Amino acid sequence: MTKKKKASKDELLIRINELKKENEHLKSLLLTDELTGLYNKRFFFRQLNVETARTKRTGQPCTLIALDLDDFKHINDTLGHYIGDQLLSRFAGTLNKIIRPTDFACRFGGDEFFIIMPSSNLIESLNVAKRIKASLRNADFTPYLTEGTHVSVSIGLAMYEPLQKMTVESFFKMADNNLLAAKKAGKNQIFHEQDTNIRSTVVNNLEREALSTPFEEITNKEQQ
Amino acid sequence: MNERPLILSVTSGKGGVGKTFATINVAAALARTRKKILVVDCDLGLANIDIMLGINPSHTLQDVAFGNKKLQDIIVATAGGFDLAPSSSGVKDMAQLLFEKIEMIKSMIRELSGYDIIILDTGAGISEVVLQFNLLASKNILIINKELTCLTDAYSMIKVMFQVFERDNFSIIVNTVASEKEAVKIFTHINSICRRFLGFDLDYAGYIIQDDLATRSILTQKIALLDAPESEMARNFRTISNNISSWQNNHP
Repeated sequence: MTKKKKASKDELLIRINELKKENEHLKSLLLTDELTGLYNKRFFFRQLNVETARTKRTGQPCTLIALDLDDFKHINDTLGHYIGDQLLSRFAGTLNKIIRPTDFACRFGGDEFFIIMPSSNLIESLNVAKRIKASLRNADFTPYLTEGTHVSVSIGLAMYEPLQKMTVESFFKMADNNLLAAKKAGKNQIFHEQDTNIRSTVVNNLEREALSTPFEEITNKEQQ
Repeated sequence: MNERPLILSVTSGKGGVGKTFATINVAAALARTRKKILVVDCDLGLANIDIMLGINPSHTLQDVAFGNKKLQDIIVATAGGFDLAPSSSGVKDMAQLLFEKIEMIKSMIRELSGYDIIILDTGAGISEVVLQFNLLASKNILIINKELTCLTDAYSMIKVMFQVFERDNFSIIVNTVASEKEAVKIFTHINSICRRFLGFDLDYAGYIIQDDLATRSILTQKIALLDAPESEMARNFRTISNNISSWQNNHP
């Protein structure tokens, strides 16, 4: 057996390529959700750390969208898991169509989804959330659901700002809590932070500075 | 009378800047010019026009939302000479009405006829419901005062309406000022910021002088304009009303 011939260079290269492919496959299994093809929870937390770190470095805020399909358990219970799965896949497809190429749509399990939106503010994520809601309203699930039946979604938003000294956990919790609040308030709606927080996120530093400039100064300038 | 009423919203970004007080007085001033005016209390979480006017409505917008009443059926006449579609106060859940219900109320308002002007008194803040009612209006009237928090919230509202919904048709009423000069200064300030950062100008609708009359009339559930018609405050409301009438004439 010591005599066993050394593998030729070509054979080695082939084997290396095979291993590489296998690795890729394993990696994708590790980071994607099998049913929908979206990223999974493991990837989500990994990327969330990356993006919040990036925010700290660049100063560009990032946002998080938490989504939960309304009454999905009822669909599973009444129509069966096969149809439930089909709907989830369709929904994942919709998410992929709506988000920007730089965003990360993840399935958390069940009917819970999260979208990480790097370099975005609440206005932008609110827009995406609205488009997702609208797409469900117009979506036709007739092969699976009875005609005219619609699936709705509850959505919570959160924004991570470098100046806010927020932890990754509290960022995640904020989106999740807003989602819970949307559910509690009767589902099929979007919740974001409190208005006071919106104020701090909508108005940027330059604008804030301009707003707080004393009026006298402004009128003087205009006279010059 | 125009076939389609001019729909305006009165909004503020921040609460407690005199939005509802301004609304009922402006509505009363407009009604004095023989116009048919309807005020809709869109502050679904904390409605208070009925309280300010001492009305105890039997049906409200909440009945409309839940399909128990038609919008026409809840409208009541007020001492101010304008009609009111009241809301219930203290129903916390109403502030977050389902999207579909807001849409339903919006389309009912849109279909109303027989009015020259419909004024939507929105809630405070920049919630989805407030934005939706502002979108229904062809012009948004922002009530501001000289406080920085108020200016910042008003600016936030303008910015969101502009960036998310491409709206740039805002008119400003400056409340609680010592003089017209001060009002113009505050208006110029916020206008210069809108011009600089958003690239458009705001419209100036007028000002409301600081006067204890405001507190007094709220306490006694009277309309300042009618209670003290000779006051400077009443004159302010008449000026604002004239300005609004001129928009109506340009309304298609």
